[in-house]
Amino acid sequence: MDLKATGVTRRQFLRTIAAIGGSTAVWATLDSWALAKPPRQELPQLDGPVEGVRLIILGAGMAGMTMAYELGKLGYDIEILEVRDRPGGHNWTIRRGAVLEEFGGERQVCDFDEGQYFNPGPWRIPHHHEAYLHYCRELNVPVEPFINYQEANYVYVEGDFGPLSGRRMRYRELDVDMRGYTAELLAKFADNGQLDDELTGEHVDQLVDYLVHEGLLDADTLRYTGSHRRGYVTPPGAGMQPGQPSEPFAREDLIPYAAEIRRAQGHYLASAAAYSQQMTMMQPVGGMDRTAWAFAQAIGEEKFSYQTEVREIRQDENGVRIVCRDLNTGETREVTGDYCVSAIPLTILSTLPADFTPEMSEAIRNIPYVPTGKIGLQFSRRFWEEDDRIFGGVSRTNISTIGGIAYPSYGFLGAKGVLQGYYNFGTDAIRVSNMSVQARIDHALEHGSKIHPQYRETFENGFSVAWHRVPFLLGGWPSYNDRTRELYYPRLLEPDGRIYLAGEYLSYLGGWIEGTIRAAWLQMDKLHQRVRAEQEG
Amino acid sequence: MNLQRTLRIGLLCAAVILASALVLPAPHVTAGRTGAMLMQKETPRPRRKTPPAHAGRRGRPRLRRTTLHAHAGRRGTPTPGGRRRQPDAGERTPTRRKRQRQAHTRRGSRRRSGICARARQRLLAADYGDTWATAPGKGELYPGQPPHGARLTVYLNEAAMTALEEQAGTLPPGAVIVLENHDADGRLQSISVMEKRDGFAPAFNDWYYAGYDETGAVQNAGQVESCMQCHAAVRSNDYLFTFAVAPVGDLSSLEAEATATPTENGAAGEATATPAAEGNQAEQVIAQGQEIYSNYCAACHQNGGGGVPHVYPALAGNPFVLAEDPAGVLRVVFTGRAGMPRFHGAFSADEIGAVVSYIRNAWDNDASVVSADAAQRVEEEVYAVEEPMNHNGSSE
Repeated sequence: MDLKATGVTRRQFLRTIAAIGGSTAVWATLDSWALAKPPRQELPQLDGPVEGVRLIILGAGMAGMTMAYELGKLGYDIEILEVRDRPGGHNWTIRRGAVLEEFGGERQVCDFDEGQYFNPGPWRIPHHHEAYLHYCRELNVPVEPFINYQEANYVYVEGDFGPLSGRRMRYRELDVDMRGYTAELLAKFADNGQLDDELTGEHVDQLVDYLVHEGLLDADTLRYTGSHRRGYVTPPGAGMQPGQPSEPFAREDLIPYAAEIRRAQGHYLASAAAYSQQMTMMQPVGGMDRTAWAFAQAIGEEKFSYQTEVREIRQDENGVRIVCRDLNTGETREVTGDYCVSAIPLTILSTLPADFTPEMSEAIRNIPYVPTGKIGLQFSRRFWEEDDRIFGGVSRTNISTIGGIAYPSYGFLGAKGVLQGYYNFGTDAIRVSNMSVQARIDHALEHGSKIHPQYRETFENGFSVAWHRVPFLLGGWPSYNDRTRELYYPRLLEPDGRIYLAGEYLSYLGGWIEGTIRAAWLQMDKLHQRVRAEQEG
Repeated sequence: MNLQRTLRIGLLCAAVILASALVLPAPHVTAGRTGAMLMQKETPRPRRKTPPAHAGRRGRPRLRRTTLHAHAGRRGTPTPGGRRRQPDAGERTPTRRKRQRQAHTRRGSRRRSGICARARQRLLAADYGDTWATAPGKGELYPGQPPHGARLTVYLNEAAMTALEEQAGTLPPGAVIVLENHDADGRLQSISVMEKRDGFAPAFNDWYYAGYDETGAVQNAGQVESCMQCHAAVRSNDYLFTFAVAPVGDLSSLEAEATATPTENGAAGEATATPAAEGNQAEQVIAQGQEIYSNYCAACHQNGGGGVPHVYPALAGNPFVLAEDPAGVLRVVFTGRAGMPRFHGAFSADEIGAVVSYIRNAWDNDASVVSADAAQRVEEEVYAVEEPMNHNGSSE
């Protein structure tokens, strides 16, 4: 059926369908249009082979390697210039022996035990990040559940926020009490007829019924007086132990506390709130960098030039010329090709001499990155499991330089473990990064021990990363706003002569590998169409 | 505007004012610099020496050697049970965000106990109570004012004393002033120290501030904002209230300065629109800017403003920073670019104006202080159609 010919809009058509056949019919119709799932950039179907096209890729992060992998399959002659001695960029896993020297900082060498690790960059994969999971399947990278949230996780608020301030509580205690109290209030209003302007009588009754179950209210009094959902003082057990339910916090005591942790943590407080955080989440078994190494292996070692620093990016109508320096020998050399993909962060690209148009240079220069940092702390025993019965998830606090304490989703019941002791952003990340390595550890221990007093006696060693001070990365992810999206983003998406950009800054999934891969797909499609057109023409 | 003001200042007695517990986080103090402190080299000056005062101090608790040693080795660990001064009753209620920041900065100070432990050891080695001079004309336990104690005793080491005698204008590196704060009954409450450290904070005459409680535990140290805010009022007297380090001049102008100090509301009094008061205001703006700088800028641009070549631009001597019209550099701080984060939303226009004022006047830089209007104009211009940055804007 040609809707254009009839002059009927899609929406009008759907309305008509709905009137005749109800929502099921609408859904079936949508499905036939392939609109039932949100449209997004899919893996482009590229036709090959391509011969005699030399492509220089700057940066062996996930964007550069996605392009190298896909275009390599088609026969492109590829060389990847990477300044580090490893692939992955931000996608890094810290294990024993990992080395980091931040600008102006000290040299850190990771002293974790064998088998312990933490991911200072990306660390969890939403179940709807299809592009990432596509490569896990294709490259045989096993994944396991990442526990982003557990009701046993702690919440800790300090400051002037009522009598509960300075006291840790389980997330389930906070959540169940607040749901109970808000349900109670709303149910009473509804029952008193105070919602009659909003709802008809039948709906009022249904709402009250819903709230009784939602908040576990007493059906007669509509009062919330506690619930087994929030846990027990003494848990149910064998014999004469029926379990003693815990008492709820007083409503007036809890409200300021709850409001403050919500302010500080927003939707991160509850996993199920944010689309990008909803269960199930996943992680590669053994560390996030497993995908980076899998890519590198699939692409082929011979295509990588590691420890090679890009110094200049040059181009003319015939090709590209990259001036680079071998960090081992100190020698400068030139690499030439037909096209170049710059898959390095804009923070770095903006500092390089490059033959970009003024508009492109301006766009590259004007996207600021978010400062962010994490610390991994190894403890001699998994007290959070043994003492607190926490298995994964994140305990959250309004101490903004800490943000949350994340428990490992691997190695349950093991002897030792590595916690993520803070994850901070913006000015908090800058302030913590201003400290010495030891002071960062002290900071994490000082505040973390308010939630876990076992910190002090079981701490063994730590490793921190402040991304905005990491050479050749200089930031977490781009922080766009409406102005920069309008002024600069469209320019970044388009090639500049023979140079294409790639990275998650070309997506609305900043900071996620999913954005990196989808941006790479977008750019390689453009590049390949052009190469095909030139070859045919 | 040249901040080295030429106003000659006279003597103003008994106005040693140190505001409540707001503390500046750690500037990057190198071990070498700490080691340059002169206390351990002090020799007694018999001429100036106070009477061997054991008799006079009898019954009065003193900082005990054992206490100092007990804390001296605790590098990098927080001070258990360290007392914090309560804010003055009249202190302005800070915003929630500011409260939070203050809370963090207070905690931050405790991490520097390593540095301060060394300072304590040197204080102890100097045995200042027995060998140093007390403040000229003051003696022991003279009446003080909040936030210092009800009774004060001030000790000066030789370097400080010599400079005072010579009316040198400023105290030299190595000069140390120790102020013991006592309650009305003469019980030791806390100790405040000012020490000249060569190169520590050139924009603030290199004063290093430190506070200890009665047990010797470090309360705060370094560029302590609460100290600096008040003492900035007497910048032209090398930040000193109690003694004149320059020849006696116009006494009334110093009093005008003192009335403009943030004793009550944390801001300079605007009633005294004398040149001196205006100078104060500029200096307080710069002091505020320095606090922000040392916390939020120095991690990359470095405390000396030198940046990291090809990575973080140097601010010292940078023509962009020093341009006659500060709008350009203000814009970059608001919007960010590349590795420079966007600070709009994280700081108010006033705060961004203050930090830009600081970098325009720190080190050897010498350019105009940014007016509050100028910063607000740039903010409005850049963000007319845009909501502030979510500075913790994680998309994770």
